[in-house]
Amino acid sequence: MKTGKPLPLVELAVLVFAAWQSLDLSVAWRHSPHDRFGWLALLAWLTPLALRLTDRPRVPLAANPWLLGSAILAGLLGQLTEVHFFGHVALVLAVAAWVKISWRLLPWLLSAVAWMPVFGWWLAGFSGWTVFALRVLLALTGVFFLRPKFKIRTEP
Amino acid sequence: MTSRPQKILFAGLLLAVLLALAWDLVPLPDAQSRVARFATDGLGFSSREMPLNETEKSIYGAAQVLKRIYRVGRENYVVVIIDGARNRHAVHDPAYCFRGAGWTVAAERPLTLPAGAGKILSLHKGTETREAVFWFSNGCERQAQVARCWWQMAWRRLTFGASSPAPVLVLVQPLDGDHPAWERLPAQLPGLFEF
Repeated sequence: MKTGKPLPLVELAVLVFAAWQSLDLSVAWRHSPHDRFGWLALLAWLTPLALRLTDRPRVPLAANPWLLGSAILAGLLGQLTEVHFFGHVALVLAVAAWVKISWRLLPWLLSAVAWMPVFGWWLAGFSGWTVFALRVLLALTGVFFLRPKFKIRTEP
Repeated sequence: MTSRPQKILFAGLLLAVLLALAWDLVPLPDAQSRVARFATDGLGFSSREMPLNETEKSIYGAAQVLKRIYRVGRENYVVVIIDGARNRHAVHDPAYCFRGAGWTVAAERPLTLPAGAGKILSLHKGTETREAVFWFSNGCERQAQVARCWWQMAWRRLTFGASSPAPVLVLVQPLDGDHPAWERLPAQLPGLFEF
């Protein structure tokens, strides 16, 4: 990845911190019948970002400091209160910080709930497979809104 | 790290990591002294310990869990008490767990208890039916609202336990799948309502 400038290490460290606060996801995806295969929804949700990163112009990446700051706060709140949901919100914010702000971002951000255990808890009345199908559907809907013309943030 | 926002982010991140690590070093007061009041035998009842299976051990983790079978007259109850002071996430919504195990929650109804209320779950799986009752107790009050319990526990974690005593989850099921008269439970096992 030729950027011409070093990677933004602080911003990437915030992303790692948010991922650390979301480590419980792997436990939920492995053990909870209503969260099984939730990682597929996460992959679907991340797909447009990953694709755009691979074909972006060779300019240095940048991240929105406000969203990263919010990610730190959400992650810390999750750690201090032991409420995993805040950790998941931290991960969403830390990932979204790399996308240019636009109205397309909002439905994509909201659709992140598709890969969270809270989604399985809300829909616990349905079977595990129904919840899984709804997860993927919701993640793809978010991707549909974001995909066509969104931009990765780059340094000015 | 050259720009001002990056320096602020770095400082915030460092502070967050240190706080997160430090918070884990402060243990919360647990409910074991209260749970210990629940007698193993007494007038009209006796009990035996039930070991946790491997799945339960992995789910409960560091949480302190009591699992006993109580015999009261001709009825046998499986009583599970989960103290989540060391693993908050072990104190869960029993309905969610039953659904995960393939049961359908056909109905929920409140059960009046001393100093509060619990919830009776009517469950079925295929032709099998079962009932279970649960509540959360902090020693002062009993209630069965999961979200309320979670927020109380979150606030408790945030205040190092100063906000309220440790809540425990109490889950009672008949051993043989009967539908007991739950209203008689406080009279049959009064010790269940002393912690």
